[in-house]
Amino acid sequence: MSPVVVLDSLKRKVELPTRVTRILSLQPEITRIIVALGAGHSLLGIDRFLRFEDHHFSIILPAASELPLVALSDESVNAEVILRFKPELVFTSPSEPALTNSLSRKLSLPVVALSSLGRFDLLLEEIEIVGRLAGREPRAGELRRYFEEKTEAVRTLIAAAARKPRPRVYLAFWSSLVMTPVNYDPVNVAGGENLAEGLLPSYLGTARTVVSLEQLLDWNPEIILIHGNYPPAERQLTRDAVLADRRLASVEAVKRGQVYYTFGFWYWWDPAEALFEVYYLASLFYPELRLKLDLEKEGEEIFTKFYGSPEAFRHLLQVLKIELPGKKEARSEK
Amino acid sequence: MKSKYNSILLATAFIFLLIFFLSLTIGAYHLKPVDLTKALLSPLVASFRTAETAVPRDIVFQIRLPRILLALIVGAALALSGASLQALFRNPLVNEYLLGLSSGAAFGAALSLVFLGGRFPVQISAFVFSLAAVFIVLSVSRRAGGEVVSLLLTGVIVSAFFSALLTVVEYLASPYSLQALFFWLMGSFSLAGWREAAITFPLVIGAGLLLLLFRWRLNLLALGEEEGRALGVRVKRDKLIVIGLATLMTSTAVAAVGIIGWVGLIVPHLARMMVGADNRRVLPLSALLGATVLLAADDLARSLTSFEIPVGIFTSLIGIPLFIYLLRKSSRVWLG
Repeated sequence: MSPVVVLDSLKRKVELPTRVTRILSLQPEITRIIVALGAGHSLLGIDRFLRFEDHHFSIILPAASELPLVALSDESVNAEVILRFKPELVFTSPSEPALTNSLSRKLSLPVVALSSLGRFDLLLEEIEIVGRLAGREPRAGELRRYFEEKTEAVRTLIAAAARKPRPRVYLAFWSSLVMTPVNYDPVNVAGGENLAEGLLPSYLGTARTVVSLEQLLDWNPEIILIHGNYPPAERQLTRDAVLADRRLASVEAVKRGQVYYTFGFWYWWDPAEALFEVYYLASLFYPELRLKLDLEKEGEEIFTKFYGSPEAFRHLLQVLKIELPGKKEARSEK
Repeated sequence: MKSKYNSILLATAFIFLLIFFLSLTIGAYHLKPVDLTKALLSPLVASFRTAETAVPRDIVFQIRLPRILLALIVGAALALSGASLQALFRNPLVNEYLLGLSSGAAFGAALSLVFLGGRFPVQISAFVFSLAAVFIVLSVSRRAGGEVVSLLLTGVIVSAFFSALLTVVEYLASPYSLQALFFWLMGSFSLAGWREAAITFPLVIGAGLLLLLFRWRLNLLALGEEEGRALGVRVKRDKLIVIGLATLMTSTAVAAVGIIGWVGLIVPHLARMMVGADNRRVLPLSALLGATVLLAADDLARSLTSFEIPVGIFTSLIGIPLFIYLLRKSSRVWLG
């Protein structure tokens, strides 16, 4: 097979080898994809985030506890340590361009900064690229088709229920009321309109920008989504704080109490979580779908498809304590 | 001379008021002049307090006004503290950075944000560590002879030390708090509200007024320790008071909006260029100019692009070339 040339998230052209068996990933999104593809055994080490902070990585890859810790933070990555692992390929996060460039200069092996930056087309492309690299094309194709079928199923459900215009949605992410993603496909696929869609990101290699409070009032969203992928005790921005914020009193979402946590990015995406997010958001945006969608069942099915077991999803719900909307309705039905 | 000073003060006050009212009209939310007027008058005119004016009133009173006032007060605090320290140490390069004050405050605030989740008031933590930084600088430089050069060198070293400690905090921080810390460190008024203002205003205004009352003593202190003592000044006590007040103002400002550079260094230079080295004039003018400059910088930061640019970036970008220019122009004021 001929090498593949990819344009990475930092707009660098990188020539990638094929059939690699030794991968060093400092990018949790790619590490999770490698695991989902069944190529976890080709991982040479693990970063601090996946070792200590990820909500469910140890469940989807129990062998992770045996993997050596590569670095405590991106700043502490040592090129010599990386060489000691003898990787054929290194993945980095585009949010750390200095690290990527430095490793590229120092190491005579491909270093690629990849992230889906909130877009499903890029996420599916990543699954394909990593599948080809790891010799897992059939599995990559299977996951891609599954992802597309599931998102299509949501689109069909929404087409029947959809109202126009779509609900206007603002996302308060990364622990701040004014930081928001400029791309976030789960909102679009779930039938909402991300009000910050298409704005310029504040930093290269990220999907985020900083807006003003006035901009937020001007947009007047009907729904506010707060980055909820944090254990409740660690949430710096809470639903209660947004609802009680006097400055937001005139915002439609606050008046109607339509402020929710999302499963969101978590040091970039977990592909299974990103897909589940679509179902979750669709049921928030279109309450009439709540009786048709069994979110718990969907989540378990999606996680089983990606990681072979529903355990990680159950654990995620326990850690994040985000109430699934269908549950409340189901309880009141009884 | 006095009439020239009064004219400069009046002209600056006029520009200040102009920018203040202009700032009320700037923002991402387009307010028609009539809606803005109604919103501004709504506390006085009951008929303007309708459901229709609810959003303009929120924009003006909940978002723009606290932000504008905070920018004013922080600008005044940084400039006033810079002017006082420059006068006290008789050196135009002294500022809150050079004495380790800002890096100490940043470290203290980071400590509170990262390890205590902000439960221990950020302001107090910032104040304690900025005071510690200044104390270390002063005591080490005194042992090294108390010369200006040793003061500057010690300041650089202590600043670097606290910056290193800040990096350690970042290194150990969980991803949850790290995002909040990075956002805070950028220095921005984007989330400024009455809550921040309520803590910052009394501390800065109180300390600022005391410093202004002290401004004539700064002239005596600027003569040097021997001369000051000969004129009946309690040099050690007065120095401590000035340093304490300047520290309180800067640390409160840093804790509220993060690190905003260059205002404390450049504005006092600008003031001295305009009215000479007499601190009775330099201090009030610095406060007024600092407020005006930072408010204008924040207006640019929030209106130039679709996203908010941290105001600290602006003050640094404008400050460095301006400083070089001012240093060349104003050397006569300092060097005689």
